[in-house]
Amino acid sequence: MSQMDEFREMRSLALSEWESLKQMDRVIYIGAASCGHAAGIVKIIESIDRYIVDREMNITKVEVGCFGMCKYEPMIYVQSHGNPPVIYGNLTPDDVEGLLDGIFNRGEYPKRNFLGVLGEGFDGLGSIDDHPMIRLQKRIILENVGQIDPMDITHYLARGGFQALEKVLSSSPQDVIDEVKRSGLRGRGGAGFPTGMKWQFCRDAKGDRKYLICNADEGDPGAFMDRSVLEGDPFRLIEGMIIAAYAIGADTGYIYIRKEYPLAILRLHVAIREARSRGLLGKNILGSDLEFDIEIMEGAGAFVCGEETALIASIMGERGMPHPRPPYPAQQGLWGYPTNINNVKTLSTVPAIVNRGAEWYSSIGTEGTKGTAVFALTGKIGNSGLVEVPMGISLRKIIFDIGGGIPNGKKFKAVQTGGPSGGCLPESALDREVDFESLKEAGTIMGSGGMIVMDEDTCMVDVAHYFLSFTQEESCGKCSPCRIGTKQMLDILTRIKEGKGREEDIEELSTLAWTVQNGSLCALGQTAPNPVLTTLRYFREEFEEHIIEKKCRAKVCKSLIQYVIDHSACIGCGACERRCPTHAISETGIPVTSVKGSSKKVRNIDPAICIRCGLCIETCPPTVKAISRISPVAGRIEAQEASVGGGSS
Amino acid sequence: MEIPGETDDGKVLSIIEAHGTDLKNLIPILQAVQEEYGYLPSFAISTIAGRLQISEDVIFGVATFYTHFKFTKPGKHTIKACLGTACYVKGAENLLELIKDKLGIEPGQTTQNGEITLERVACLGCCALAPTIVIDEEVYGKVTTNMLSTLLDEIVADKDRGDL
Repeated sequence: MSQMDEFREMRSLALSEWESLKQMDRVIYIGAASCGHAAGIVKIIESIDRYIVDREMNITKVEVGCFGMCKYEPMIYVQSHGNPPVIYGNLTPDDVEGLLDGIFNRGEYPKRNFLGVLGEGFDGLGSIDDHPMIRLQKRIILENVGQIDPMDITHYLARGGFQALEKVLSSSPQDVIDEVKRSGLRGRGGAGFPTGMKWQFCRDAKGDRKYLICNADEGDPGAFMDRSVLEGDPFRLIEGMIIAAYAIGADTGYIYIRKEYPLAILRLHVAIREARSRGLLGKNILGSDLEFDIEIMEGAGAFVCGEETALIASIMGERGMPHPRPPYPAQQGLWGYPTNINNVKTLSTVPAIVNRGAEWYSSIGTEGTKGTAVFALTGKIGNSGLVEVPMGISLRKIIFDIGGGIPNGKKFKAVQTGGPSGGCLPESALDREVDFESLKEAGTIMGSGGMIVMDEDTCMVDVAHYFLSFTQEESCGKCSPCRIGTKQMLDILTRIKEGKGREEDIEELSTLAWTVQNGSLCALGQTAPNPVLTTLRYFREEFEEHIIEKKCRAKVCKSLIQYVIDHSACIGCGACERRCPTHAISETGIPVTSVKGSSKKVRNIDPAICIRCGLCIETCPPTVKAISRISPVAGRIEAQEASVGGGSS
Repeated sequence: MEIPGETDDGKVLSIIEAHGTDLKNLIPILQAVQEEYGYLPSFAISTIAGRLQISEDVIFGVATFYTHFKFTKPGKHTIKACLGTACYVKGAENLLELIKDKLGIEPGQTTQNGEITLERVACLGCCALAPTIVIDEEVYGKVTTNMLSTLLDEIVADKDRGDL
């Protein structure tokens, strides 16, 4: 039997196994990605195991990746009585017994913790597809994530895995490149370079051998899209990489992945080993002439290594410093050979394009940007999680429909995309269509997919300072404008935050930003000023308030705020005094007036000792809420006097 | 006095054997050595330099470039404060301040008794649970200053019990 026939047999076996899993009674799917672990899935699994032993029941457990509804972690889906799996979230170990007893023994699906049915709804239980967080999504890259066991190749095969590879092997490499070009796929790492063109450059370059690199060095703070894809569907990336290798003529591939993602690294190792043993990696892949294998290289914590020439230097064992381009990696990359580098999501999109065709893919999205975008939606947002949406959807829909808006009745202030290379957009930009060009026009970038929502309690000067301190620390130091310019900019921002800002500072920041943008070799320096420039463009008044009025309206910048106790509300319980780490809170001689007949005395905070950690605000009983922050600080005397006056009258 | 783990016990050599002596293996070797010792002991740097036939300067040049590598022995416990964007906008800096104040150390330092190391990390990818703190291997999500204060008391008290 030929290798291809063996493979086809393996697939039909996988399909029938998958079918029988779906028919099985009593199956529990468990969301077991990193985020699930952090949310306490291990304790839930222990509860399930105890339940299985106690009830002596025959229950099948399947560990799946992250379904993207991080807000509802830990999650399990329960399949029984011939019904599709039903998803339950926000579980505690104590919920497990009652939930499983109800479903398995009595066929009762509790409403509590219910999220939706994975598939068609039944008995009044709605489908998860109608959940507000899922309804507007279009899942291509994430189509398997959270639905299959990422470590079981048969699950991937049953969901159409490696069909694209099979198809590709019967066409020419140039046909594959043409198909990807026609699809309009652009690099999902952030810059949005057309993928087909990139592949063509590498295919056309002369070299004895060629390399393929997958950039999984997801360094943006606040982004975890690639981690979820790697943890939840690693075979998809492997298939995408084999197809890319075939197209450009590479025999070796590297996955450069962050050390901070141990679970993703582990799963990739297992998946690569499995693919090798099934004849999908190595020599004569599926009986063809194609030879390709993948190695994993763990990054060592340098943000700049997300830049392709720096990444290449790092794989070669050097300091990860960028080189001037040209020569581009496609001409002279790893050890001088033509090298093609793509992001995890780019490569993971490729199998879908091959399977369903370039026309299908290019029918999704906008004129200039086809397909979908994966965002890690976090910050001050109701439904944080991982979402995949068609390009062209508005920011407002992502934040308010999918994300459920801003919690705790607070007001939206800004949304940040593109990580430290991107910018903050205000309310007025929310109706913009999401695509590479539109976001660039607004002053930010699409980036890799981090989307952080900020509310009125976020200070924009502080945010600009935060991002710049990140890039300043991560600057490799090669180009002086980036090395020194970001430091100068940071000094100015620090000064403004500390209330020592000067009126000419805004002008100076803009000049420095221009210099850093234009004088830096790589994208790190070229984009580092973006967070400062966009906040200056959209939130200039906050900078001016900091400089002129010494006021931080969000009450974040420590030098400009003070914690005060409202004496008319204080009940003199002393909880804050006992909790204060620096003993800045003490009893006064002033009697409590908020409680009739109380013999207690109100407390006071000494601003000279206070470190503004906020512990007292959290400690003060929610019914009392006597402590608040004020800014500008000059107003503090009036505030305290007013409260004393109010109390004694 | 001989400090345990401060002398080459052949482990470094076997790590180098397992990886190979090409320059491209330098970072994986350093990672494996750090996995073993918790940091990069100076004897390990000398051994690697000898086997890979490169100068120690080259190794220090590479190792100091990457934030992952450490050159001093970490404490028994490690507290990692995540300062990724999502954690930051949810008040992670206040948490870090509190830890610094309570332990009297800056990120990257270890308490004088060698018990607790404080690290500041850029992002752990658990953004939906922001702000997060990792103590040893345990991830704590949605941390409040109140919760952290209790956690710190516990970890410091634990140490005291150990000392008695």
